[in-house]
Amino acid sequence: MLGSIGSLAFTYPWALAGLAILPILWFLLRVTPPIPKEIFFPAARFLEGLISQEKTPSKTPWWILLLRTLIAGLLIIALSGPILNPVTDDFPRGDIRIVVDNGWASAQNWKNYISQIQETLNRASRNNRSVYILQTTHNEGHAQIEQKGPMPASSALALIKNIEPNPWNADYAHIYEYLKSVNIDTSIHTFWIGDGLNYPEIEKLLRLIQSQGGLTYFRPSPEDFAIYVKIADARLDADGSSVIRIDGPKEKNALYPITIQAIAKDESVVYQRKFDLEPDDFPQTIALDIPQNLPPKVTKFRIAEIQSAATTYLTHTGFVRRNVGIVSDTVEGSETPFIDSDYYLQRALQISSNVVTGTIQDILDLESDVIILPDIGGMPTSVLNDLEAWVRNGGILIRFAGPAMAAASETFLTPVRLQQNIRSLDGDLSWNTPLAISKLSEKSPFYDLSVPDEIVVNRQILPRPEEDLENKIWANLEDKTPFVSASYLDTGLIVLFHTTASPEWSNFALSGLYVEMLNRIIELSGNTQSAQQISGYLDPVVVLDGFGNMGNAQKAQSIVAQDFEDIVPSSNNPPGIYARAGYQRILNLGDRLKRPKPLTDLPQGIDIKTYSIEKETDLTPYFLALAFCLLLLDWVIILILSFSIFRFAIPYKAAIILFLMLPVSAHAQDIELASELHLAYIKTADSTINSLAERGLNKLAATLRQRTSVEPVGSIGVDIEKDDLAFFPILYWPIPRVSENFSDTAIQKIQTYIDTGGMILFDTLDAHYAPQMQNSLNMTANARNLQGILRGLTLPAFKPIDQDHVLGKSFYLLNSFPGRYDNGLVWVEAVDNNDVSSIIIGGHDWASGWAGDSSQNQYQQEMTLRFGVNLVMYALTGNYKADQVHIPHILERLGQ
Amino acid sequence: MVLNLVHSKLSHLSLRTKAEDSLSDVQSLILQAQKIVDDMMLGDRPKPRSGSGESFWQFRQYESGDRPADIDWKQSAKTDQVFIRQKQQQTAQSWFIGCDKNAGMFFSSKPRLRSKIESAQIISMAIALVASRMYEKVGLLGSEVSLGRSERHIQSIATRLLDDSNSLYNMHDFAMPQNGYVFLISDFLEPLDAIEQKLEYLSYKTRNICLIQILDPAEIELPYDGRITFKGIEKNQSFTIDQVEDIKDGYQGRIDNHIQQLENICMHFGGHYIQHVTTSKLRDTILKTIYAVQGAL
Repeated sequence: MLGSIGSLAFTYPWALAGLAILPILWFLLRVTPPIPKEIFFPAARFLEGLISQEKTPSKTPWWILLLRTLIAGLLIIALSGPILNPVTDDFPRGDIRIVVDNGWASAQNWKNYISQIQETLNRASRNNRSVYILQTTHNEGHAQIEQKGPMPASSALALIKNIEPNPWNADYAHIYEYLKSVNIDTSIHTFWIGDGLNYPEIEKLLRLIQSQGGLTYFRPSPEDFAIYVKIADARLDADGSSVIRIDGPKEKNALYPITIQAIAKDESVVYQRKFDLEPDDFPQTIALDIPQNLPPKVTKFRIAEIQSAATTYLTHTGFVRRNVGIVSDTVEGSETPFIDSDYYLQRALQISSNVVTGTIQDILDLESDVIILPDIGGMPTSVLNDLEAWVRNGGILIRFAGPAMAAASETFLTPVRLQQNIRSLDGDLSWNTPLAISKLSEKSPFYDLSVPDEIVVNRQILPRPEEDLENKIWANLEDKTPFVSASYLDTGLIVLFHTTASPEWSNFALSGLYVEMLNRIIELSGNTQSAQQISGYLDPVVVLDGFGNMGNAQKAQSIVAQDFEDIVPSSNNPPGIYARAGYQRILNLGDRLKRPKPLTDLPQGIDIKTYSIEKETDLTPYFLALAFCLLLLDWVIILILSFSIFRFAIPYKAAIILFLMLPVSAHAQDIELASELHLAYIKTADSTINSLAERGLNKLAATLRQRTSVEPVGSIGVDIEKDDLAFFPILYWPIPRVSENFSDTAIQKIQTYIDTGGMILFDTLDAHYAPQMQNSLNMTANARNLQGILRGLTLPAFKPIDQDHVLGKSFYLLNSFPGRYDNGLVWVEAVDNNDVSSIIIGGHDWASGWAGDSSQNQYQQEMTLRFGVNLVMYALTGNYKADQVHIPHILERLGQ
Repeated sequence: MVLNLVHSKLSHLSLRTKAEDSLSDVQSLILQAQKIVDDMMLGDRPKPRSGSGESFWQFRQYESGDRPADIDWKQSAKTDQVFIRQKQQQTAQSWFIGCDKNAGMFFSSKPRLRSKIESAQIISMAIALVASRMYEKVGLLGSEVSLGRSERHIQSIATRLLDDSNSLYNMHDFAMPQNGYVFLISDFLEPLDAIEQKLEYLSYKTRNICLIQILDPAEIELPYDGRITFKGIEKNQSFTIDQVEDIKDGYQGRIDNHIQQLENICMHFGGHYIQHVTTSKLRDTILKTIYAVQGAL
C-alpha cells in the first residue's frame, strides 16, 4: 500500500524535536552493561574473591545499540503523527453540493465515483456541513430531476447508495433550467463527480454552478474513459463470422487487453476472444470467428472486464424463460412415451422455457404465459370459458390438430373454422403424396426460419373457406393449404398447427423447425396490450440497467415503430428489447451513441481533479507496529545473550517468541471478517457470475437478517488462491463453463477448510441440462470443471439428497431445493444423518434465484430463498434439527 | 516465601508418611542390624554393666559387700563357689535431634529437586522413629526439650519440625543426660570456627555426636555458566561472577576443603560425620546413621 510514496506530513511536527535526544540515549545505553542473572546460593560465601579470567563484555554491542536507538527514533516519529498523502487544501466554506454524473459512462468508473463521493462526504461530515445531492440523469420513467438537501453528510451517504448509473445520457439542459429556477440564498460549493466527457450543454451548466459558489470537477484519468460496443452487422451471419466495433474517446490512452464474450441464453460464455484495446484505431473493429453451431445460441456480447450497458450488446431475444403449460391427460411414467404429444413438446421446450404439464384447470391456476393444447377434442364448458377469458386477457394458446380434434362435434378456440375430417395424404386410397412445407409468411414470427426439405405432412385438418383466411395463415404447405394458422382474440393469440404435436401425422415433430417455431411463438408472449393497438408500437420487454444487467421494464415507454431507428436511449426508452407480436427490435446503447470528446476546456476558476486511489493515510500505527516488532527482536536477542546457560533451549524459546509475534501481522481486514458473519463466494474468472453471486448472497443475507437470528453483514468474494477461508462457515462456489486451474495450495486449502468444519455449496449452474445428463459421457463443461476440482480432494461418496435430510428442515420444511432452475438433483455426502455434509452439489444456479432473476416466478424465488435460509442454518447449526423430528417421541416418553 | 513452599510440600501427615515410607524400606535393615547387634551381645557387649533390669545378665562370684539375697543358690550348689545372679541394666538412652533451619537450607538448585530443609526434616523424623522403635527416648533440640517415645510424642516432634520457626540447632538451653546421643542436621556451610565452638561445648556433655551434612549437588559442583550474581544468606552478601565456568575448579577446591575440615573436626570430638546430598537416597543416609549409632552403643 506504500507503493507510491506521496507527500508526507506530520500532525505534531514539534514532537520530532525528540529526535535530538537520540545521541544522549546512545550514550546512556553504551554505559549500561547487560544485567546479570541473579541466583540465591547458600554457599555464596565460598565464592568470595574468586574472579573469572574471561570477562563478559561490559558494553552492549553496537548493533544492539543501533537497534534500540532505531526503536526510540520510530517511537518519536510515531508520536509526531505522520500522514501519507495529506489532504492539504482547505475545505470550502458553507454548504456543499455533490453533482453525480450517472449517465451511461458512469458505470465503467462507478467504484471511483463512490469512493470519491464517500471521501468528500467524510470531509463534509468532519467539517459539519450540510450537503445537497444532485444527479444528472433522469431515473427510468421520470421526467424531473430534483436536487435533494440540505441534509447532514450521514444521510447523504445513505442517499448516495440509492443513486445508480443509468444507461442513457445526462440531461444537462434540463438541470440548467432547474438550477436556475431553484433559488438558493447562500453560496454553495459544488463537487462534480463527472465522467470527463463533453456534451453541448455542459459548459453553460458548469458556468452556472461555478457562479453559485465555486466548483471542483472530478474526472477520470484518460485511461479510464468510457468505451462502448457496437456490432457492424446487427445479426450474426450464418457462418458465424461477426464484426464487433469498439468506440470511445480517441484521447483514451490505454493499451490493455480486453475480452469479448458471447453469452448464451443461460448466461454461459460460449465464446470469448481477447484482444488489445487501441484507442488510436477507434472505432476499433474486431472480427470474431464464432464456431458455426453457436450463433443461434448467442444472446449478447459483452466485454468481460467492464460491466456496463454500453459494453453489453444484445443480439437475440430468446433468452427470457417463459412459463409454458402443456395440457396433458397422460399419466406420468407412461409406458409408451413416444406416441404422447406432451413428450415431444416437453423435449422441445424444456431448455428454453419453464414447462409444466397438467390438466387445463391446473395450468390456468398457475400463471402461464403460454398454454399448449395438443389434440384436445372437447372440454367442459366452464373450463372452456376460463380458457377463453385467459386468452382474451393476453394469453397465447398453441393448439395442435389430431384425431380427437377431427372427431369433435364442434371446434372451439381455433384461429380458423375447421372442417371435420382428416385430409389424408399418404393413405392407400389417396392419390396424393405427402406434402412439404412451402412458405413461411413474412408477417409471421417465422419470417426468417429456413425449412428443411425432408419435413413432410401426411395428414392435416383443413380450414373452411372464410374471409381473410389468407391473413391468418403463418405457414403453408406446398399446395397452399394452411400448415400454421393464427388469429388474435382481443389481446391474446391463438395459433393452430394443422397437424399433430407427435410424429403421428407428420415428421415435423422430429425436426428442429418444430422447436424453433414453438420458441418463436412463445417469445411473443408477455404483452398485455391489445394486438390491434400495439401494431404501431414496440413495447419494452426487457431493459438494461447501467451495469448491463437485464431486468423487467417497469416505467419504460413504448416506441412508435417507424421512429425506432432514430431513438436515442433515454429515461423513457432505456436500452433493451422492444417488441410487438411477431416483431422484435433491440435498442442497443452502443448503436445510438455518438463518439464523445473529453471535456478539455473548462471555464477558468474551476478546480479540476482526477480520481485517484491516493488517500490520506495515518502512518502512526505502522510506525508503532514496526517499533514494537524491533522491541520484540531486541528482547529475543537479550534472551539469547543472557540466558546462555540454557543455550540448548534457545531455538525452542525463539520459536515460541516468534510464534507469539505472528498475530501482530494479522491484517485489519481479518479482524473485520472474523468479527462479523459474511456469506462468501469463490470468485470465478467470469465477472458476471461474480456479480450475480454477490447480489444473490446479499439478498440472502438480507432475508436472513429479516427472518432469522442469523445476521450476516453481507456477501464477500473470496480468492481461493490468496484469501484465508477460515472466517466463513459456508462458501458458495459457482462453477463456470470456462475451466479454471487451481494450484495445489488452493486445493490443499479447500481440503483443510472442509476437514475443519467448513461447508461448500458447489453450483454448476447447469440444472436445465439435467435431463440430458444421464451418464458421465454427457456431462456439461461445468460438471467437468467441478469434477476437476473435486478430484484433488479426499471426500466421502455422494448421494442424491433424500427427504429425511436435515437440509430440508433446518429452518423451513422443504421438499425441493430450487434455484433459478427447479430440476436436477442435489447431492450431499453419503454420511449418515448424524454427520454434517461438508459439501453440497447442485446445478440450480441458486445465486440467480436469490438475486431475483427476472425469469422466475415469485413462488420459486421464495422457495429459493427458503433453501438459502435452510442452507445457512445447516451450515451453522449442523444436524441439530435432525433431533427435532424425534421430539414427539421424546415428549411422549417424558409424559410417561 | 521459601517457607511456604516447604509447607505446601510437607504437611504433618505427609512428613510422617514420607518418613514411614523411607523407614518401611529401612525396617528390615534395622531388624537385621538389631540381629547383628544381638549376636554381638554375646561377646562384645554394648552395655557391659549390671543393673536393675529384669533380664539375666551374668553370674558372678560373691564378693564382700554383695547382698546375701542376691546369691543364686542353685548355681552355687553346682560348684564349690558362691555365685550371685546379676541382672541387666535397662536404662533408656536419650537421643537429641537438632535440625537447622537457616535460610540457606531452603535452597534447591532445580525446581523438582527436594530442598535441603525437606531432606533434613525427613531424616530427622526417620531418626525419631528409629529411636522410638528401639525403645530410646527422643527429643528435638531447642528451647523446650522434651523426651519421650510415645506415638503422641513422635507426632509432636513432627509438628515442631515443621512449625518451629526458631532454629532447633540450639544447644545452650538443655540439660544433657549422661551419654545422650546428639544428631546435628545442617548444611554446615558456616565458618568452621563457629561449628568447632558448638561441638566443643557439646563434647562436655556427650561424646556421642553425629553430624549429618545436607548439601545440594549445586553446592558441590557449581553447575552454572555465564554472568551470574550469587546472593548469599546474609544481607548484601552478593558476588557477581562474569564467567562462572571459569571459577568452578576454584570453588570446588574450597568446598571440598571445607567438608574435609568439618569431618576432621567431627572426628576430633569423637563424632560421626555423614554427608547427604539431596539427590542421593534418604534410606542410605538413615542406614548409615543407624550403623553409626549402633556402633557407638
